[in-house]
Amino acid sequence: MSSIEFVKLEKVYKGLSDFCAVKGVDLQINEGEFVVFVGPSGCGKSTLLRMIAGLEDISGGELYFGDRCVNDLSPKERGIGMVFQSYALYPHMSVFDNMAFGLTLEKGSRETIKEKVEEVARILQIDHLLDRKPKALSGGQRQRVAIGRAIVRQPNVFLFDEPLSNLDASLRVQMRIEITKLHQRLKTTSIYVTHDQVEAMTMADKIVVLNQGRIMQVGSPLQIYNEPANTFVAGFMGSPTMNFIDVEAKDDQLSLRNGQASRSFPMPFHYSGQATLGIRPEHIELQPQADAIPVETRICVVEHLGNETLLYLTTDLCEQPLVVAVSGETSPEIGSALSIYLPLERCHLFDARGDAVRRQGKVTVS
Amino acid sequence: MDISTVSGPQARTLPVSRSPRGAQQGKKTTGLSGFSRQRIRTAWLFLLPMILGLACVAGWPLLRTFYLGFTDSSLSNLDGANFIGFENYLVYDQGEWYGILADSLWWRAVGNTVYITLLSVSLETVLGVLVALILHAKFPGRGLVRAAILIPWAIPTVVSAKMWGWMLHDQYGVINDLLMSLHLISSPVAWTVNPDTVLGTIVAVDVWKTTPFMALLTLAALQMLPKDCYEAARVDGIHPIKVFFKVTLPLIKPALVVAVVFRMLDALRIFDLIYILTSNSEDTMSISIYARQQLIDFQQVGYGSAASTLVFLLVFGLTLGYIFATRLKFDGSGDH
Repeated sequence: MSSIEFVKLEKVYKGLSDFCAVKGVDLQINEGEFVVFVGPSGCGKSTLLRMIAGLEDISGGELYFGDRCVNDLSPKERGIGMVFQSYALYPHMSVFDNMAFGLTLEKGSRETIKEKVEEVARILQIDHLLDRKPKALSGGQRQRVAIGRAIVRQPNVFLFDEPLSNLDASLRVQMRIEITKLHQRLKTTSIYVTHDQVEAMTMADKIVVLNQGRIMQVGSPLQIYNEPANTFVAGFMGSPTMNFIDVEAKDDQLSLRNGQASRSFPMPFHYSGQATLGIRPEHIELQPQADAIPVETRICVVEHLGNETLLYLTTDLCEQPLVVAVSGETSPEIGSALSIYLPLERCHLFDARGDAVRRQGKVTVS
Repeated sequence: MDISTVSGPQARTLPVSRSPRGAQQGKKTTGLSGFSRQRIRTAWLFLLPMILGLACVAGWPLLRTFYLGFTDSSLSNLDGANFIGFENYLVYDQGEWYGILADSLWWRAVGNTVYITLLSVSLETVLGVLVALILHAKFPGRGLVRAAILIPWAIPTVVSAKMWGWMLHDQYGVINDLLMSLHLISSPVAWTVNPDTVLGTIVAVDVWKTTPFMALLTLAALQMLPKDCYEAARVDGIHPIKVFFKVTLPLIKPALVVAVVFRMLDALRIFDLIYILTSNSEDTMSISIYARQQLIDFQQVGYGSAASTLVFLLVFGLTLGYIFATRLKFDGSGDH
């Protein structure tokens, strides 16, 4: 096991026009931590992972495992285990051979290799499949084999490259829990890449949100959710996404762009100028509240999810409809008017550049 | 055929035919539904032009050769030939065996052919894989090299044989000149005449010509391989040579087997290269050369046809045996 430190890591793909996939990333990953890199496709998260693995050259900056710079070390010397999105199993080898292939190099008799493989297979509940070929396995079983192949070498660092995205929804949830359980058992430093925010929220000790090769925010899942550092993180994490309303802030007063007249509200932020107000769909109230912004809306779409109902509301505050999540089942009439209340305590304010404005006084509680 | 897999207009009648009564009286219980019968008819219709074409250009000459092999016809007397059974192949007459199978020259030709085939196909398989591995790697100018490597395969054999004939010439040839100036040989070698060197020379030129073909087929197979397996192997720190023998080779084996079948078929029928490079030398006679000699030079159409039939049977048998042997192995490993 080891901690990992990134110092101004960069990845540039040379070509007709150089493409910078990772731009000056600084990050500290503690020993035994489960870190999730999350971001939209093309944000550089996989590139970053492959740079840690040693599958991509590092164009700039330094990468440390513990206090050893590993920039020029081969994947093997770095002591990593990697699980690929497409499993990357050797199609012509049995499950046992797939798992034992990496071990045969290291010193150790056939007996010890057999013992190791069988022990890992038992942990992952694939011990009855050891003689099968990958093509005779289901997707979930293949992924277990791929994880087993990584575990059996007892690496210092585990790397997961979107390992669950080829599985169906229910299997994904199951494997998610198993990977978490496995991490609790092995306590190996793990880095997990995903574009699925639910995986990020549920599995991570620490989430790293990436966009366009840059780190947008690093924090615990609840920090990321409750205190997004900018509009990108706020909009990316959480489903349905946060509602954004353009506002004007002046002298601790908030003015809403409202069809005819503008109304002002006192706000818990120190900021003047153009800004964006953000509020999550589940934080909007339907009952009158103190310290809340009342908004008149009209219902345009209703989505029933069973446990909750999503209402899409048109307002004159913004062009996009506001989304409100209401628990349970309601069947309001489309087109009918609805008054909603945005509690100021739950609101986020982002400045003109999209960065979050620090809240005055008490911090938002979840 | 399972009725439940039938789609299209027939599918609508399925509930009826599934019921026991429907199954008893329905025509569909006979096996094929009208729809799949129609599909089979269509398939045959599409195949018909090719079958007709092949029957004209391959089937008819083949049958005629079979027939002529059982006659004593000659080029001057094609129509008045007599049916003589297996006499062209083997006959016992006045205490002696006659016929192709008793001809020591035929067996020499068989030996030469098998020798050339085995050596040439093995060498070009190894070289072809090596070249393919190099061409598979990324380097500047790869596209140009990939195109250039195909040149020997693109040149007609007659041309390349003539070219090599001149290069290997004992007096004016560039190869002797080169080897002499490098002091590797002290006097010029008659590569295509000397019985010690001539078979090796033919194999070398054949390998030069056909390695690109093996390389191309192998390269196609290499490009189909899953990239992530190699990354997994890199992460596991497995030595590239071990990766080649344990991962690459097993995965490209199916393609290699097909490529080797193609090359075997070609090499067993080798004719033009030998004919041009060494003309009528008995040292290099292949079975095709033997058959041509009987047919054209000696004008024994019957005897020559019998020899051609044997060439066909030999090539067919060896190739079939090879396919059978390799496929058996694959079924055992369950990869196909």
